Amino acid sequence: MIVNRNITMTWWERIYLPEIFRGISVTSNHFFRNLIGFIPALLNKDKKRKIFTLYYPDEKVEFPPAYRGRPVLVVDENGTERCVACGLCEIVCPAKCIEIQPDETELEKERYPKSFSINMARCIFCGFCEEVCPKEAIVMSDECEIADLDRNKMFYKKDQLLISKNKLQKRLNYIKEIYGKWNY
Amino acid sequence: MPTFTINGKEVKTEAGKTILQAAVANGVRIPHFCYHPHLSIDGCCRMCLVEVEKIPKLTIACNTPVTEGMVVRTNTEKVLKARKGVMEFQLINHPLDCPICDQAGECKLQQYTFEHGITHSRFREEKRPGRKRFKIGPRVVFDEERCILCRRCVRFCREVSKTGELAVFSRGDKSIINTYPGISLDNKYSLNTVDICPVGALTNADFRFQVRVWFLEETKAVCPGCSNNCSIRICHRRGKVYRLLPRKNMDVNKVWMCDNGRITHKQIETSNRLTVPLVKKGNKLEEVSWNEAFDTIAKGIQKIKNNEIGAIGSPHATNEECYLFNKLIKNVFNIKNDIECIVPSWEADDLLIKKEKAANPQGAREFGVKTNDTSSVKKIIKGNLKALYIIGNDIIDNSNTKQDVLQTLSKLDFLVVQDTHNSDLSSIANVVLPSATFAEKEGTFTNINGFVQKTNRAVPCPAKAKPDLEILSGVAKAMGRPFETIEPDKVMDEISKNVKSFKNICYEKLGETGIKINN
Ligand code: SF4
Ligand code: SF4
Ligand code: SF4
Ligand code: SF4
Ligand code: FES
Repeated sequence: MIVNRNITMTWWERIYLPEIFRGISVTSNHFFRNLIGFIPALLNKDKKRKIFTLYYPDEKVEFPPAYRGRPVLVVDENGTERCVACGLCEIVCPAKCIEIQPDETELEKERYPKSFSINMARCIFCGFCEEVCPKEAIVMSDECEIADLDRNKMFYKKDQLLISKNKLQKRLNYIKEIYGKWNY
Repeated sequence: MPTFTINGKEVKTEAGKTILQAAVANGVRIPHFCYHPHLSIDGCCRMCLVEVEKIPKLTIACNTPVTEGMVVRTNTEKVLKARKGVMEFQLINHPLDCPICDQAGECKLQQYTFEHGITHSRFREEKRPGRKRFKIGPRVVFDEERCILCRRCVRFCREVSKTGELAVFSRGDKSIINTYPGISLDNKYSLNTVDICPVGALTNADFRFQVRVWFLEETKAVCPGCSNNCSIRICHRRGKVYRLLPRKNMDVNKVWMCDNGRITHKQIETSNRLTVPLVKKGNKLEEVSWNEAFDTIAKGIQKIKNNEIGAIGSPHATNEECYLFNKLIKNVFNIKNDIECIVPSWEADDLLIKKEKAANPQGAREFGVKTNDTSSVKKIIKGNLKALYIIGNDIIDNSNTKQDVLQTLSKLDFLVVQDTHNSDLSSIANVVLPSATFAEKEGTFTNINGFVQKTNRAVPCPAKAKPDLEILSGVAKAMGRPFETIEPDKVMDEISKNVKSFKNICYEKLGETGIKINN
C-alpha cells in the first residue's frame, strides 16, 4: 500500500546540514553522558546516576498507566472476580487466545466464569479485551516479565489471572478516562 | 388480489393479508416484537408503526389489512421518530443485563436498540424491580425485569399448546407475566415460549449459561425423538452439541418442537457411549481393531447355517441404513428370515408428538422390516435360531420382559450388537460395534406421514465409533461381497431405483424440508 505523506519542510530544514548536526549532537550528548554519568554516583553513594540505562533486573521502570502489560482479571472488594463470562472478550480477541466456560452462581451477578484462560503465548497485547469488557473486569496490567521456556506454562488459568482491584486502580482510572468518551 | 404501494414500490398481495405480512412477503423489513406469524395478532407493542396515506396518524402494520391502492411508507422520518419513542419506552424498565443475558446476540430488543442508535436514557427514576431467575416451570427460567410484555408466551400457551398456564396480571406499569395460582409452566411444548420470547425474559434452564449463541454453529437436521421427525437445527461448538432448535417446515412441525425432542441431544455425550469395537474373548469383552471385529463377524456367521441366523433392525436407523442392512442380511448373509424390529412407544397428542418413539419406523417398514415383531425371540426359545445381528437395544427396552429376553439371547451361539450405548444387551454380545447417534451421521428419515427429510452430520463420532453405513459396509467387505457405494446420496440413488415408494426421492430434490414418498 502506498502511503502518501505530505511533509512540507521549512527552508531551514531543506538546507539539510544544520539538522544533521543537531541530530549528531543529541546522539553524542547521550553517548558521553552514559559514558561518564555514572562516575559521580560511584564516588558518592548518595548521588543518583545521571545515565538513561537501568541496571535491570535490579532496577525497574515504573510504567505509566497507559502501558499495556499482560491482561488480568479484576477482583472486587468482595473477593470475587468482576467478570460475568459474557464472552465479549473471547469473541473480540484477534489472537483467539481467551477461552471461557460460563456457569451459574448464587451471587447477584448470576453468571461467572467457571474457567477462564488466556494463552499468553498468543496474546498480542492489543487491549481489545479490556476495551470491549462491559464490566471493566479485564484490564491490561503493568506486568511484562512473562517469558517462559515452556509453552504450556504460558497458558494462564483463572487463578493466575486474578489480581485485586487495589493493585490495578491506576489502570482502572485511566481506562475510564479514555473509553468514557465513547459512552459505553 | 389487492395492489398497494410500499416504499414507492407497487406490489400485489393476497387478499386479507396485513401490511406486515405483505411487507415480509415482499422483502421489506418492519421491526416488531409482539407479532408472530404462527400466533394470533395482539398489536400491543406498537413497534411496527408505519405511515399510511390518508390515515391521519401512524398505524400498526401487524393489524392493518392491506386494501386496494394503499400507499404505505415504512422508513419516513415520522416513522423512525415514533419507533425510537417506542424503543425508549420499552427500555425504561429494561435492565442493562446484556452481559449476563442468554438472549444477547439473538435479542430483538438489543438488535433494534443498536439499529436505532439509542445510546442515552432520559429516564432518571428507579427502574421497576422484579423477580430475577424465577423458575416459572421445570424447564423454563423467567426474568420479570427483562419482560417487555409482548404476550407472545401467553398466546402460545393459549393457542398452540392449548394449556393456557400464562396470563398478564395487574395493570399499567405493574403488569407482569405469571402463571395462574398453583400451576407452573409445565407442558410438553413449554420450551417454545423460550424460542418466541423476543427478549431474554424466558430462558431455557438446561441451556442457560452454557455457551454464547454467537459461538454456535448450526446444522440442519431432523429430530430423532419420535416418528413425527420435526425439522431441527443442531447448535454445536467444537464438537459438542449445546441445544436443538426447531426449524421451519410447514408440512411437518411448522416452527415448533416438543420439550422431549430438545433433550434428545443428551444421549450424545454420556459416559456410557460405546467408543471402541469389542469382541468377546473367553468370558470378557476386549477392545479390538475394526478389521478384527469385522473378521470375527464373518467367521462367526459363516459357521452357522443360513436359516439359523436372525436379524433385528432399528427403528432409529436412517433409510439408507435400513436399505443397506437389508442388503447385508438378504444378499450378503443370504438369509431368508424377515428382519424385524421393536418400536418403543409413548403417549401421542394431536399437535406434534406421535405414538412411535423412534425416528424412522415408517422408513423401516418401507424396506420390508417387520415392526413390533418378536418372533426371533420365540425362535431362539424353540432352538431354531443360533445367531443374531441386532442394531440398537430396543429389544430389551421393555423393562417387564427385559430379564427374560436377555436370558433367551444369552443362549445364542453368536450375537452381534451394533449400538451407540453400553447396555445389558451389549454386555452379552460376542461382537459389539460402536455406532453413531443422529447428530453424528448423514442420511434421511421418513416420518409417519411419509415425508422424507435429510439430516446432516453436526459433530464427529466419539473415539473409534463409526456411522452405521461404514460399519455395515465393513461387515459386507469382510464377508467378501463389498457394497458398491456407501455415500448416503449414492445409496439413495440406488434405493430410488430398487424401492418403488422411493422412486421420486433423490438428495437434490429433498431441499431443506423434504418431500413425500408416493405410496
Ligand atoms: S490483549 Fe488482545 S490478544 Fe491479548 S487477550 Fe486481550 S484481546 Fe486477546
Ligand atoms: S468481556 Fe469482561 S465480563 Fe465479559 S467475559 Fe470478558 S472479562 Fe468477563
Ligand atoms: S433481553 Fe436483550 S436487551 Fe435485554 S438484557 Fe437480554 S440481550 Fe439485553
Ligand atoms: S416473557 Fe417474553 S414472550 Fe412473554 S410477554 Fe414477556 S417478553 Fe413477551
Ligand atoms: S408487532 Fe405490531 S403492535 Fe406489536
